Amino acid sequence: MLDIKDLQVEYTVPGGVARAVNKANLNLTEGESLGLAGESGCGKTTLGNAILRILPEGGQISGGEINLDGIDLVELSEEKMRRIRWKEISMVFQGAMNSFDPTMNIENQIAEAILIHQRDTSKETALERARELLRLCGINPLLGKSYPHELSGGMKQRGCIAMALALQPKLLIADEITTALDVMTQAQIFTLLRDMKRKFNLSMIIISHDLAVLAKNCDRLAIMYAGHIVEIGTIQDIFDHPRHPYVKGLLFCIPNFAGGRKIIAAIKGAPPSLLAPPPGCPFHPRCPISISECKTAAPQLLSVNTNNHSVACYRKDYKGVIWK
Amino acid sequence: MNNGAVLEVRHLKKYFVKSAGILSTLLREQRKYVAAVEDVSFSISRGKIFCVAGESGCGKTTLGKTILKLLQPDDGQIIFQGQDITRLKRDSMRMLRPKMQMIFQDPYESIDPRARIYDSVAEPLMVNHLVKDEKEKHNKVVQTLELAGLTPAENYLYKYPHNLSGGERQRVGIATALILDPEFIVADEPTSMLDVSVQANLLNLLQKLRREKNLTYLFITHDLSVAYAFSDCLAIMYLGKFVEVGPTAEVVMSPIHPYTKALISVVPGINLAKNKKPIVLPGETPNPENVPPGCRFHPRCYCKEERCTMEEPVMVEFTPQHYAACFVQEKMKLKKNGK
Repeated sequence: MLDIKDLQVEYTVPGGVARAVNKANLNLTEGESLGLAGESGCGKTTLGNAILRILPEGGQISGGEINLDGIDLVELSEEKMRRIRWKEISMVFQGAMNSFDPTMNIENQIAEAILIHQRDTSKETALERARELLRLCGINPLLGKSYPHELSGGMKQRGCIAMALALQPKLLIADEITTALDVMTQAQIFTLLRDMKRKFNLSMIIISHDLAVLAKNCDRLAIMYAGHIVEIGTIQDIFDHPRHPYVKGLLFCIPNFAGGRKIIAAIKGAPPSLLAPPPGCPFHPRCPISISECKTAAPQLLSVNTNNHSVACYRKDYKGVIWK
Repeated sequence: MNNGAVLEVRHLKKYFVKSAGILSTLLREQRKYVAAVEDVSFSISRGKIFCVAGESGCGKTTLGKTILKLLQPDDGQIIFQGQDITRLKRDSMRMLRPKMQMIFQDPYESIDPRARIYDSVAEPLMVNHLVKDEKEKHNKVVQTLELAGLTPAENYLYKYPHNLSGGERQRVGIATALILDPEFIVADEPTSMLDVSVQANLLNLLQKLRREKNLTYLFITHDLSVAYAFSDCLAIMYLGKFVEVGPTAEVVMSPIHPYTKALISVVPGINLAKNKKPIVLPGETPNPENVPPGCRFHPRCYCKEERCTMEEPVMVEFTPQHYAACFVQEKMKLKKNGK
């Protein structure tokens, strides 16, 4: 359904050109949910925004393709792209709960979104649909008349999901949607997303820095580092048989109940600046098993099993202990 | 005073006055209070990490600030190293401050953006008149920065906060807390804004400092997996009250209170997720302005009884040092023991 090939996104900033997404390859089938993970600044949000072509000023797609059902979104005119947004692909943002218009009640806001995109709909039908969507998303339709400030963070996030689903998109991109919410509310929101995915056969890209959240809520997972997708595979492949040294280290860092009561601070240092990335593999300065090849050319994302588990690392077959 | 407790808190209460509208002020209506911390008691022995966990708005940050007397408690006692500091005046408190320090959540806000790292870290020394000359000050700052893992310190001294990464900035925050050689530190979500790899490095640093300096921590977090990996004792807070306290491993592996059980079941642990069914509580994180009667958790509880809606349960010891406040669990325990 979605097929991204060699996507490159660059930001022109005062200090030069930062390549935030570098030769990214991704694909997504119908009804599948893909997690996009990585630390801050790795390019995961940029990749999400690039798919919808809503990059902030100074950002541009400088190469590659984004094919949605065979249509390359990169080539579309702005006018045509506008018709894709919301209707085919919609997005819920991290701060989405604060993106409602404070002067308008939520059912009107959802209805308005429907009216703008489907001009032949009557106001009554649109409102009816809005209430139905709110109900589906676990908000009592009686609360539809509430204004955003009257709702809690979790409620507003539900409202945002309702709004994102208003035109029955095929693909929903959720960018750090539960980062500001408590674990219990987070669990409620993800239960809702899973229900919606089943109900509408929705494909999803869930962007998060929290690997544990993604493990629980996605089918496949892609890990990004300094603009590169370094490993992609099923949840099982990534968690049980990680191949990239960065991914292995990252998994070590997450404290979890089953992992014994120890914090292993594996990866030292910080990710490189995107303005002056190191030559070769972006991870090599922090990688304990890098070899001379790593310093000259960036490794390709190559498949390591029949399951489409792919890794971009020259040392992906290294079996020894890397982190301790 | 018991076995070397660095800090002992007894029935601590902290209320905030709810800001009233002009009309109710004119009508002299009675002021409304919001209980942020309601009858909290615990103690921390030297060298231990005591963790308070709970959802946002449960009162955990207020608890931390009240213990350090950054907020004035309304009732109860705070005993620090055998001395009751509850009613201490500002001046006497100032003498104690060097021993009790705080690390804040947001390293972007807790350091003066216009001051060089050197000046930020040295400020506590100056305020407390603890150094004689410039050389001593310089040495102490360098030493502390390196202790906080900023090596070589010379590279950081004359930088500004905006030149540093989030992790480095939090290390500066730690250095400012450490420079007075404290014995007790309240760390309020010190890693919640950082990436996991940075978080792991910082938690390790805090552990190392505890070992080397025999520090005692009150660690406040919303992340139970961090609490599990990091602390000795864990308290679960709900609407201003502790609902469960005990040795961390026990609270996480065999929770007693229904709220703790639910909270632990929804933590997205990587391996745990596969074999345990999450208990997703309905409804919202409650509002402390509106505390329900009886057990404050009962409106969201999945095993409540009639009694829970009328009476408030007290803490009962279930296994040694492991306490919880729940009528239903208490009854089940009595039944089990009766057989």
